[in-house]
Amino acid sequence: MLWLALIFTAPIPFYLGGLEIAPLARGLFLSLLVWGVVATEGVGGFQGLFALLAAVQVVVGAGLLWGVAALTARILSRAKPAIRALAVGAIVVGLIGFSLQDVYRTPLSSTRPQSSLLGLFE
Amino acid sequence: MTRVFFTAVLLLAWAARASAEAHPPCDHRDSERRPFFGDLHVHTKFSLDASTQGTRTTPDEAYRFARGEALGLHPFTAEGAPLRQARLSRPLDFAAVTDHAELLGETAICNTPGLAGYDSFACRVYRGWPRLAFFLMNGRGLPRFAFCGEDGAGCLAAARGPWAEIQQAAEAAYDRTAACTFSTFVAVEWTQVGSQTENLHRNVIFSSARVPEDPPNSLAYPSPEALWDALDRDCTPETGCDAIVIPHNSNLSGGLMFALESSSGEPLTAAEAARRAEREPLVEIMQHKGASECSRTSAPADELCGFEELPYDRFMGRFLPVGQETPSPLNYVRHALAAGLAEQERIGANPFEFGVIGSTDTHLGTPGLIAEDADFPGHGGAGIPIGNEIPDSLLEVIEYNPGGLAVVWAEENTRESLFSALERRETYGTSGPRILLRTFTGWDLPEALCDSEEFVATGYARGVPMGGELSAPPSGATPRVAVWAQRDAGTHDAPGVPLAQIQIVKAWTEAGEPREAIFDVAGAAPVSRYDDAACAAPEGGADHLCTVWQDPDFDPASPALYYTRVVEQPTCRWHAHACNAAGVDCAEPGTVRSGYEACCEEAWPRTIQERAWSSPVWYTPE
Repeated sequence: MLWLALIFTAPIPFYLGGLEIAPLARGLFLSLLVWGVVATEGVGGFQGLFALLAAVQVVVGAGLLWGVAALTARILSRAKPAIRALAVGAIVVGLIGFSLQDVYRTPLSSTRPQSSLLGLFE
Repeated sequence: MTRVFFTAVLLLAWAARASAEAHPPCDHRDSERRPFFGDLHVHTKFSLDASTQGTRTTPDEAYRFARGEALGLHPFTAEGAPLRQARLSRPLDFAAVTDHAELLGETAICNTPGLAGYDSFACRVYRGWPRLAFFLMNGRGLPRFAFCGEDGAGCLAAARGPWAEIQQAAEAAYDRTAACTFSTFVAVEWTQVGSQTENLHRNVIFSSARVPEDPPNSLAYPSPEALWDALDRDCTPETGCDAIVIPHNSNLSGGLMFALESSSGEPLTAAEAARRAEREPLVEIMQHKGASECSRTSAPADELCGFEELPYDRFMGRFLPVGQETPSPLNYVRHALAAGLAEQERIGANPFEFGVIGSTDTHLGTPGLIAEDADFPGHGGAGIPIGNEIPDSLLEVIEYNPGGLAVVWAEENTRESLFSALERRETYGTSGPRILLRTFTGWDLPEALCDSEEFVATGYARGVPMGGELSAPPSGATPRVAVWAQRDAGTHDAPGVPLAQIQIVKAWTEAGEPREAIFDVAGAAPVSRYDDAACAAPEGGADHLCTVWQDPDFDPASPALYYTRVVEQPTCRWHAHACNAAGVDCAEPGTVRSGYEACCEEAWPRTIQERAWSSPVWYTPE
């Protein structure tokens, strides 16, 4: 749950021509667009490199966030179950609250150079 | 729908070709020639990188803007109303729309419902995620997209639509009456890059409405030599077609624009050098993405060389920490000119015998929008979308600038007269202001020529104008350069800036090695510090400067060239105006809002000295 929350809310750098600082979910979404173009149109020029760059960042980002989630879970594992549930809930709510502000840098968007979670997939 | 589209294309193509080149005599023809101000580097919505940032300007609208009409700029409301407007305070005399030849068809397909490929996934990404498409599509190369069909035929066919519209717009805007108020050129940008994104871009300017059926592009012709071959084949005097090729942004070429070898990697031969000099008689020395005369590292003794210098030497450097080391001297016009002299000695021909112009390279379809003020909307060369509303931030990448102008000394404002001047290099470039600059170089120009009312007549009779070649010297003679410059008159609301000084840059060879020297010949460098907090009209300077300078170290056995640089008194750079208007005070961090951080970065000088560069005059020993 923590991992999923981090994937959808934690701002991490993601480079695809422009440097975004946004949740990994957005990076994955952009990567799907790139892979979709490569799959339907074939590879030419720098596009293969672009697709590979996206893949590497998705894998590294997912691993990194998994590590953060696992570390947090390990720290919380020493607490009582009720407190643990409360802490996880608080973290998730906090992350969602944070993500609803215009905290993400999204230069690859044509309309929103700064965005909140709600605008990430427009 | 497809049939209607192609019918329209054919009709437009027919209309453009049917028009005769004949032009009635102009009401005002000046045998001593006049300066005409223009912009030979303009992108509209047909260029992929312009369209992905939201530019909607058509070639027709770009030409109307150049003639003085207002133009709405993005962002647009949902109803299509522009949130910004721009208008030139002084119309241009000539212009050329130079959309990228590459992806011309792809962009047309993705924007035209009904064309095969419109519903492809790539086009959906283009329409929904244009910024991502900017990188994805620009980075494509060969093979073309699958939606282009077999061998890219669909995209090549689709490119003829915008190509025809570009021709039609040029024809419609060209004043064929005896008033001769405005000239246009059919043109296109050939957009090749090196393997590490080194810029090799060139604009192809056609002399008339007789142009190739397809615009020459770098996918079909992947080297400058291949481009020249294509022009030799498809644009011949027999068909009434002629073209010159104008490289630009050598500052972003990683040293490749003026490499001393051919594209095959072999040293240049005399034939190749002569061919280049003939095909490429001009270079764009100044534009939106920086000046290309020289750099602080390439000419450390020249204090004026840091002007609008980019902090990287290839496109990738804007996005990644590459190409930011010391750039090759061959990124710059001055050193290329000097290297050309050495090549002249080595192989017997000079590949870099070129004159200079300035232009904007606007990607908003706003030719000649060069004012350095708080209203500068940017030129969109970085391809960054502006969003749905005007952001509270600097509207341009900090290292970019409003660009320059091309100035042509011609008898009248017609394509024929202007193109002839471009070919003979009687041109100069400015960083924006309409400085008047005239030079003559000869062996026996009178020392008191500046006092003569016959300055021009004597100059032509006893010397050669900028861009010319000196004849063999009389025994014991040394070249004299007569330079006359007058400040930009400006407008009522924005008066021009006084001139600070004139310099002559000389290049020559010693034992086969290129040498350069700078001579202060009139005026003086500013002595008082300019207040960039007020950005007021500068004090001091001159309305006009004139002098006759004689080369003190002329060696008749050594090839040489001379060009002139005229600089204005210091004024505020565009971003200083914008930062001041936004209330940014770098001494008070609280005033430096998000989006204005660059206002206080010391790497970007808040004051500049605008300038003009003349085309050189060459001396070649017999």
